[in-house]
Amino acid sequence: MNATLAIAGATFGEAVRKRILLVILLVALLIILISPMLEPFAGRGATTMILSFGFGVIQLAGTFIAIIMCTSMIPVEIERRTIYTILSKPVQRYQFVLGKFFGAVGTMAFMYLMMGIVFLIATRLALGEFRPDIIHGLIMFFFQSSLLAAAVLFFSTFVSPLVNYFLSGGLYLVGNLLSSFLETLQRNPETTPIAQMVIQILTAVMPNFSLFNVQNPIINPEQVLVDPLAYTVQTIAYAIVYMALLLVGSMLIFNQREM
Amino acid sequence: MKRKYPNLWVALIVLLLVQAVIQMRVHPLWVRNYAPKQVTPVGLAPEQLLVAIAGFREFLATILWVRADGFFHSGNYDAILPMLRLVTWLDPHNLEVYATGAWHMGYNFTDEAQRSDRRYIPMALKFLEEGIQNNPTVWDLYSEMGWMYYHKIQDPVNAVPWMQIANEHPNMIPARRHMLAHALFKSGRFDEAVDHWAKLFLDAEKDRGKDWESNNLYDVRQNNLEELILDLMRRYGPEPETQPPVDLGFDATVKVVRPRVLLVEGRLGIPTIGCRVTVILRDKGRTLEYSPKALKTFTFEVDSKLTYMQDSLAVREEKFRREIDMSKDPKMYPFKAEEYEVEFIFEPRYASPNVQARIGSDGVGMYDARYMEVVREKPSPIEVPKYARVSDALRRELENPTREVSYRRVRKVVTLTRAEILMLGKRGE
Repeated sequence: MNATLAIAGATFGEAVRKRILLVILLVALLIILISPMLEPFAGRGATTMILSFGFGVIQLAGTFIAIIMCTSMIPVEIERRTIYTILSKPVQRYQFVLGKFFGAVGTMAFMYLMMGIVFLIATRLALGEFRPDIIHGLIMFFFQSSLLAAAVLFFSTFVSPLVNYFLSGGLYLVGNLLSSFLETLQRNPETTPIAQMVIQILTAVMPNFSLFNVQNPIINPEQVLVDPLAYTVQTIAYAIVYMALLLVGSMLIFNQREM
Repeated sequence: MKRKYPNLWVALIVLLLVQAVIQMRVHPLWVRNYAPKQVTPVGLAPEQLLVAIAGFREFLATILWVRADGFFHSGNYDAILPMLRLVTWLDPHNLEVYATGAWHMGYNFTDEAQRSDRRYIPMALKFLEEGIQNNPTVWDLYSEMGWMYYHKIQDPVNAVPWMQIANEHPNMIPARRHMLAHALFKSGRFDEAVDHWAKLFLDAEKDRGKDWESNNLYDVRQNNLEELILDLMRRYGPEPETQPPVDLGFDATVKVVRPRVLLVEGRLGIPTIGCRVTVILRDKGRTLEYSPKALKTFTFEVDSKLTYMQDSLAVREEKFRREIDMSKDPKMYPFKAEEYEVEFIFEPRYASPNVQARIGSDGVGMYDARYMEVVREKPSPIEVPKYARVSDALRRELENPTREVSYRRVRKVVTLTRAEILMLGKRGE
């Protein structure tokens, strides 16, 4: 456990000093800060525009941070041969993978905290009211990015960083649309049972990132939600289970890898 | 030799199954609460699609909605329709888009003489129905649907159920609750109209003295309740002012004066101003079904072969007369059918109060030897959305309506052929 935490701490320290991640964070913070200036372009929809733009920026920044940070995490250690130094100590390979993942999640938490604080301040200034429901959206985005980070880490155990960029980017896009496709197909009476079955299996196997996109009712607050607490708890449980699944997969592949 | 790690493999399979189970449990809630409802990205440019997928759905929707507003103010109405589709796809919980979009379809497509293209009304109803399906727990769109029936279609019988659903929502704007009482009265459900005004009055009494708005609401409701009871007493009580019935001596004629131009005229013997006769010209045997169920799926395409014109003619000194020119709008009046019906209707439900004072709002005080008919109506059944906030009793009544109402009207139908309207073979087309 100590070894895992030590690796996580080192990963976190390294990640928050990475210039590219800091640039993404700074750009996101700046855009969130200036988002209230969009108000004149939105007419009566100013609240919608400010909230949706802020959420969009945070989600996009979170996605970029997760992919860029985790793509190179393990390959760089192998390339620089620092992994041999680490593994020559009493550190198991699974501890290394876990430490890297927890370090990435810690970095993500830090980034989301920064963006969240700025977003709350910006919305308070623009809308004239504190909107605590924004925090719910940010928490869900954090789990979405963490799940993406786990997927990127999983791919990084067996593909090169360049391939990983496309693979994880594609997975994120497909994972964001799967539920919608399933829903549309289910509502269409002309869908064949085979097509339904295929999309259902795909949806059940692939990570479903759209479950974490809960910003719409926050942007349109007059909606009455059914069981929002149960939904949040189950979705977070889903994220944790899927992250565990990807980490176990990463460990299996990393353990088999010749170094 | 490589190790096999059987425990990890077992864990992997177990976790795979567990996540699938959780996801299947969460999916219905996701569909109910958060789903974008439709994924077909028809009409979005690739960069817009990318922006939408990247998490800026509602942002893009707002931008497009502002753009649609620009089209509206420049009079480019046709361009708004696809925008509405895109905006509601991107943000299905934006109530304003559904409400404004349906109003736009129902009211703003007109001919040169400002007569609505009523072929768009089923489309507006379908659009509102979609909005209701996507937002079943919010009162606004039920109220909008009720208003569309009440005001545009002038069908208070079918306005009532939608307004009843809206009225069951506790956060409905107080003044909008009055519409249900008006619709109940117009549809002839006088007892329920009085009950509803009384209930509203008692509600307002609780907040009386709180502020100016509460006092105003109290006054309005008290006044409406008293007026309604007095009107009912005068019209239907002992020695009613609606008796003996007025002989309308109703008649109407239609003459083609130029190709696609009709001269309609006639008589309606009510000795007071404020009466209007409705005239409808349509393909013979074709009626517009004013129901969301009239369209299988939502479409912006109207039936381009159907001719349907409706106008309202003012009656002065017991006579009406108008030249109806349909020659300037060939898209709206294509005249593709071989035969047409011109229908003249006078019904008292939407007549002005001074007219209703004499003949009643259900026509009890009018008589016509040739064209009088008694219409009996029940609201069409409504499939109440699963998550709508309505009581079980109301849900049952809406799904199987039992309350029938009746009213009197006069109606005359004249048949014309395409050759007659286009003056084919004469000096016309």
